[in-house]
Amino acid sequence: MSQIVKRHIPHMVLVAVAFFMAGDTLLLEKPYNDLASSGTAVVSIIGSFAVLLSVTMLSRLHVRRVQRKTKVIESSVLLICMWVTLIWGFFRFAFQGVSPTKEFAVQQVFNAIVSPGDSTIYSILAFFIAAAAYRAFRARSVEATLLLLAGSIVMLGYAPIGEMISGHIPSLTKWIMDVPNTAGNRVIILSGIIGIVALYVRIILGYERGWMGRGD
Amino acid sequence: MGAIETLTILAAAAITLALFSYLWRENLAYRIAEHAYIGAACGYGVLVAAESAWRLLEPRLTQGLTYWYLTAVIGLLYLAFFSRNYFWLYRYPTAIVLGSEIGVTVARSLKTQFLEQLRMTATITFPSPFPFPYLNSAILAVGVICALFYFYATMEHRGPLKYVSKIGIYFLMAAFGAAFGSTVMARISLLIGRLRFMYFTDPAYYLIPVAIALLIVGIVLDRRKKPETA
Amino acid sequence: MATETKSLYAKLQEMDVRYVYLLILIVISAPVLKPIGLPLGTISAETMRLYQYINNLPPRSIIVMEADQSPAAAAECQPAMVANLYHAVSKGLRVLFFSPRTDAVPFVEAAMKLVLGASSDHPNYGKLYVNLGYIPQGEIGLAGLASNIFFTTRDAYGNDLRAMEFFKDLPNKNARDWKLIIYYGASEADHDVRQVTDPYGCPTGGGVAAVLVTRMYPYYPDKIIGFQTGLRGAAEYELLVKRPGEAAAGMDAQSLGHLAIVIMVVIGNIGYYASRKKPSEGE
Repeated sequence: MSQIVKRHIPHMVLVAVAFFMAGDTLLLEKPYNDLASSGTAVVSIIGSFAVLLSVTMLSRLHVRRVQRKTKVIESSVLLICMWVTLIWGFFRFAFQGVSPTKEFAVQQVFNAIVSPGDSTIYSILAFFIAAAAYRAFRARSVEATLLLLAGSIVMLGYAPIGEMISGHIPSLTKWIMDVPNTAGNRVIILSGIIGIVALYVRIILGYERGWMGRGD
Repeated sequence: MGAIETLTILAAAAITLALFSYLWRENLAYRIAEHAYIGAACGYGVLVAAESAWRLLEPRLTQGLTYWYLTAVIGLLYLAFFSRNYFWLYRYPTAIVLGSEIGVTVARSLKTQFLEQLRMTATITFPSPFPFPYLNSAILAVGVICALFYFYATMEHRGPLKYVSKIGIYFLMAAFGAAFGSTVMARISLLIGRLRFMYFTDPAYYLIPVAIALLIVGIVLDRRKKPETA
Repeated sequence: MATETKSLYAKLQEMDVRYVYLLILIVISAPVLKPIGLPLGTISAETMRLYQYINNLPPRSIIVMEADQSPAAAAECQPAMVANLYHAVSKGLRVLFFSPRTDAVPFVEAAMKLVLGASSDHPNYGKLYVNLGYIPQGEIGLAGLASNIFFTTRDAYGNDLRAMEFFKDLPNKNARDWKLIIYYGASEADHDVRQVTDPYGCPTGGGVAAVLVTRMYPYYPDKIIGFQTGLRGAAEYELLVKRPGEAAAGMDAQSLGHLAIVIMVVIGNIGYYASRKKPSEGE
């Protein structure tokens, strides 16, 4: 019984939901489509609860760090930022009906910490790319030369200065993007979709059980 | 501008400079800023996700469809992930979400990303200048076929197949070069955005001399430390 | 004991990387603080096609703006979204906003407040503009919205969608009523083509971060009718709608930044080959 409830029924649920949702994409029957629309809402609501995992995992990890007195300051900052935002936002939403996207304090947290943090972490990559361009990108083979050449032409083509250097650079950039870039990315898409469909078929047939996680 | 908006901008500038300090070397200010970002982002994300889930659920509950509470019960089963004995309960909401993802994407992916891509390869998409109007499309088709042969692993790449896959890799390298150029453009755009914020937002720019002063102090202290540790 | 003198190229190769960071900071900061005024140049075909498509739409046509930009991608995508919204407002189009990611929701509010002057309290909110807010589960949510426009039943502010004038005259109440869906972000626009363009015939457009641009071309121009390539594309659109903004202001710095990277690649390679020891010289 235990294997049936623990493994086989979840697998059957997955297959049933997959076929049900696939049917919605292929059939045009109003009652079926309306039911599938409700099904999509069900999945959206259930999927939203996955964020509880992120909160719990972060809390467990960083509370343990504080208990073991390793990186106490950093972990404390994380826990305070997360839980103060959560508690205040939930209180205002649950008891006063103020949406988090309109709540003043939560929006200040977004503007003061989330937005600049996300932007800056990715913008630092500009420096790393420059350093890599200078120290690591070497035209050691025909392929590497081709990569660097295409990259340089595209970089100059997308900046106004490229057209000032030569009127041919924007045309070359357009040709590189329209022809070899399209060919390469089309191949990546074609190969990728075959791999994804194969993976999904393996999941449906039960050969791929990684999604079930640990344990029996 | 109110006091809170001023504090918000100052905090944003401080976070920006603390994260940029990683370029000097990893330091406590960077780690604090990074952890603050992770915590705040997680908290904000959970709030918005919870609100949207409630917006989907509440109209149905007010219509008297109380069986919709089941969706919340099934969603809470995600927390079984942390249990040793009841971990298997976590598989139910995962199965529903994953099954839905499979159903929604498979049939449509096969059309859009397989059949349509093959159709677009076989048709004239990018006209070339006179006198070879089909040249670009022909080169594109040749490039797709050759690059596909590069990934063909059933036969060893010998003889004519070796040259075909070589042409394929050249097309792929040009595509990767274009991706590299685009990525550089994206990152520099982000940096421009951050610098414009720091230089032109009142009162963010007041922190720039403070940051420079702290950097100089840091460099001096670093230089003094080095002879002792050598 | 002979001391080996290193050539200039070898020294440059071993230079502290922080000098490179400083150089990039100076090269990009200088035009930000003191613009050079380089002309933008030719408007790209991709941006022009998107502009012409929106320009030719009849009034009250529905365009959907999918805000998938994280705060990181917003530097490139937000100016594009603002420029497109200016254009849509000037043409009297209906605009439906939604976000498949939580941290893109404030950017929709910001765009509405910048262009319209208000969001939910605008007099035409509910008639010409509706913000559905965050729709969870990415592609699944988009599929649900495309198949049933009342999928969320409420907008971002809790208002009932069926009571809104925006949705009153829709014949199909699904994506067949949409004239365009524009994707803003850095993840993938493939799901828009899969779930909206191919099944319902509504073309996709883009105001995408430059990292995503190479992935747009396999669908262009059949499925993705046009798109704005990062900050450059946003600057082009700003000029087309005659409202230069953040994107146009950043183009000088973009030019010098790209030029600096290309020069560094060239110098790095020259230095690498020049500083490589020839075996016969050491013996």
